[in-house]
Amino acid sequence: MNIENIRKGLTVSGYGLLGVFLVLILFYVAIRITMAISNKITSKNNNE
Amino acid sequence: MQELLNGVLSLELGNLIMFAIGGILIYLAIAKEYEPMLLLPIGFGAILANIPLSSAIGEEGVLQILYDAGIRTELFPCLIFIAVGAMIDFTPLLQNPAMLFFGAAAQFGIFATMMVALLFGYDLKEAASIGIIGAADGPTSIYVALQFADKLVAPISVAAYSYMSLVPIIQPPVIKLLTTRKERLIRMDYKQVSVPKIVKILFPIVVTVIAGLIAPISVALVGLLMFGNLIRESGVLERLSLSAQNELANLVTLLLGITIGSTMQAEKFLQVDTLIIMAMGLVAFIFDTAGGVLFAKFLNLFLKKKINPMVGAAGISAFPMSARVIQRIAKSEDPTNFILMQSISANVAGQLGSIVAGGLLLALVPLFF
Repeated sequence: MNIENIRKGLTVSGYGLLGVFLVLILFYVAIRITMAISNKITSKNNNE
Repeated sequence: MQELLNGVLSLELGNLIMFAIGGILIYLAIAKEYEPMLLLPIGFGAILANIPLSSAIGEEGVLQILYDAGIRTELFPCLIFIAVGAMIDFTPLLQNPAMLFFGAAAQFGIFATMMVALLFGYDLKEAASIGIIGAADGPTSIYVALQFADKLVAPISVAAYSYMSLVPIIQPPVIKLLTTRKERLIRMDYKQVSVPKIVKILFPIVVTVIAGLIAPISVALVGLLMFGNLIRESGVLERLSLSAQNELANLVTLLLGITIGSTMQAEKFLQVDTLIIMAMGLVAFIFDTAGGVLFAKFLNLFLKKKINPMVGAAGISAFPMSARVIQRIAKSEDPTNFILMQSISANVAGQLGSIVAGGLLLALVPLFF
């Protein structure tokens, strides 16, 4: 067992898991924004 | 006469064991229908590779040529991503984007298993390759393993595909262990939301750009998956979409399976490493399931409208098997409880999460190795 490897592994795991959450949060925001814009355009077109 | 007997005389115990392993994989594929598209070609490839003096392997062997052209260059996994992208319908996720968080939480198994592998003395690259079995996503596992530890590709692929097919057996006990009956009975409202076509078209482009900017090395994975999805959603490339979903997927799967199988040569495969990797693959799937369930339980501490924690377990990439398993458990507890749609959303999120996790490992591991 190599303590240095485990330290590196913990760092990669920490950043990795955090990174997955961060990227998926960005996807979430992107979906919300595109849905909101699209719904706004649709309702505007319907009103006209 | 002696030449005719060369094959028989060169036969060793290892070859016979590999014939048996190949036979078991073929049996599981045919009799149990466990991932037959992959396990059958892998099983037969293992037999081909273990016939002594086999002309299929070796420098000029057809399977070696396929390996060099399709696996070593990562071409086959990349082509599979186009096919998978063309098959995925992201609509359930776009209807319920909050489920993306379960797609992230259920990747916990990748990193937890990586740590376990490090404890077993593997180096960081090998540990990351073993951990990625927890992506529950064959092509991603193969792609990452090829980059970091190509000698482990065969056991990693076999573990990934075997456990994917065993999701209905692995997940229920873990879920039941981590949830109370009261939690499993939680009902969730489902609101049908129509997703405009423009959102479905923009989604693969936006995802590629975001993932690519954060981890450029993931572009081959995420980009080709999303290219396949864009073909599907564009609505003007019906023929290409169908070709990607059928001809491309079938052809590459066929070649990928038999080529991976051909790497299962006795002297390389029959090692303690293979057993450890198979065991850690199981650990990865258990940690994935636990990660999703525990994250949902954590969210429930703050939410007024509680989430059925079983939905968290559907955040793994094994689609649509995991979602079906969750619904089956929910139905067994209460025949009128219907959480399939939420589970499918989480399951689709898992497909995205696993690829993102793979991409991040590809970006992070070289920084520390």
